[in-house]
Amino acid sequence: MVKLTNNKDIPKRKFNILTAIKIVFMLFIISWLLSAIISSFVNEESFGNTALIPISGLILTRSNNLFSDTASSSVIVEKIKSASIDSNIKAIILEVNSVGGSAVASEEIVQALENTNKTIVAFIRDVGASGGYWVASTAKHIFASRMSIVGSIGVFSSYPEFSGLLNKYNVTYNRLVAGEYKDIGSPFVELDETAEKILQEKINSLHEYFLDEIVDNRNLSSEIRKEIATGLFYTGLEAKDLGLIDSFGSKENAIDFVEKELNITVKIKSYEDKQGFRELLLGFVNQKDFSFLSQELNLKNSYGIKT
Amino acid sequence: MMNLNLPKERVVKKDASIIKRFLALLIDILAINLFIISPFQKVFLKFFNQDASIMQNISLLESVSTTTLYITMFSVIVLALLYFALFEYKLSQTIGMMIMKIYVEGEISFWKAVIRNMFIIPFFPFYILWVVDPIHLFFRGKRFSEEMTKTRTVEIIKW
Repeated sequence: MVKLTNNKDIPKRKFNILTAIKIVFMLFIISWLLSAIISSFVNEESFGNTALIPISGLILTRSNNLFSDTASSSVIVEKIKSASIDSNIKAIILEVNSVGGSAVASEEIVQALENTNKTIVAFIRDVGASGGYWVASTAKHIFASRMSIVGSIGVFSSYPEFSGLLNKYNVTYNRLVAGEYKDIGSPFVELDETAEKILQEKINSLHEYFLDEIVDNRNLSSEIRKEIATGLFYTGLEAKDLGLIDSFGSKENAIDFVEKELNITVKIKSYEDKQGFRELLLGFVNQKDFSFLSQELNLKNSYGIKT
Repeated sequence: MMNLNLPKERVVKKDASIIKRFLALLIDILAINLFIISPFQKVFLKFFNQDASIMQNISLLESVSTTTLYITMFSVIVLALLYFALFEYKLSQTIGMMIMKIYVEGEISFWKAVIRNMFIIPFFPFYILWVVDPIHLFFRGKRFSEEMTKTRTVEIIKW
């Protein structure tokens, strides 16, 4: 709105510099005082000095399953990096409850843990098998319950084959391939002896790598290596005899270990996922009770190389 | 001395231009940064890691969730609100407005000045004003908060 007016109608405006300085000075002093008070309360303790990172569910490169408990390696790696760059964090406690999953996803987590300079301690809850155990094996000390499921150090890439079914229903699979083995492992092609041998060799070489990693991390003997190479899972009791875990215990024991090892009073900084709509939904059907079963089913029904 | 018969000085009072208001706000943000936020730098440095990326700092911040962080944020917001409210209540002008030669017109009490500047509170429902105020300003020539407090921001042009 434009209003033409006379000079005399405009009130004489004089910017009172003294009042302005007074306001600025007062605000600056209050800010300075408040920051000094807040600073005195902010110390290492208020942030937490030990990161608690859960590795729970099927380990995948990306978490994309609505109805099962999955652990995305991208998210976990980010959490490990956050803990690593946080100067307040002195140790990382891994809460492992996983049957493994994607070999690549497990390795991503393992590499992130190997790159950190923090003390790592792991405790296995219901299950720390395969890729889940690989992650735990990077820890300086592993705790597990006597009844935990530990081990299962093997690799598989099983898949269903439908070639017989297609023949039964007179469905033809038009195989158009450039490169003899391009569609090796396709569920629509019968696996011949050569293809099976090739796939088995690849799985064997991955298994050797996986075993070497575990043996290195846990400093195991060649006899134990041979024993665990079967891919069998063990109870916590058996795992301790084999040297796959160090002690029986849970989160409290892991905290005690960190306190003694680093001579600090542990204050946990949790890196647990925030509860979203999916978790709330699943909470109603008590999904956790069936998580082990659903993890196994998901693992066996998905394609790719699994640890 | 020769007397020139020049036309009298003409004065126009009009709603302050959007550009002038925007520049005044920018100057005020700079002033707030200098006088209010900078003393808190020591505290903020404890929350953020300078070696980390922005995304890593955000995830660090998410995992902190301490009351200290909220107290710090609350203090800064209240002080920034006080900056605008006190200047407008006492002088009808903030530092930015003074530089851009615009001022608040209308009967202004302290609480009116607070209501006028509630847009700086970054919580619901106040951040709705980030959308409502500019739209109102664009179409009606004054912010929605100004409409509520029956005040307006004006400039005086003399020639």
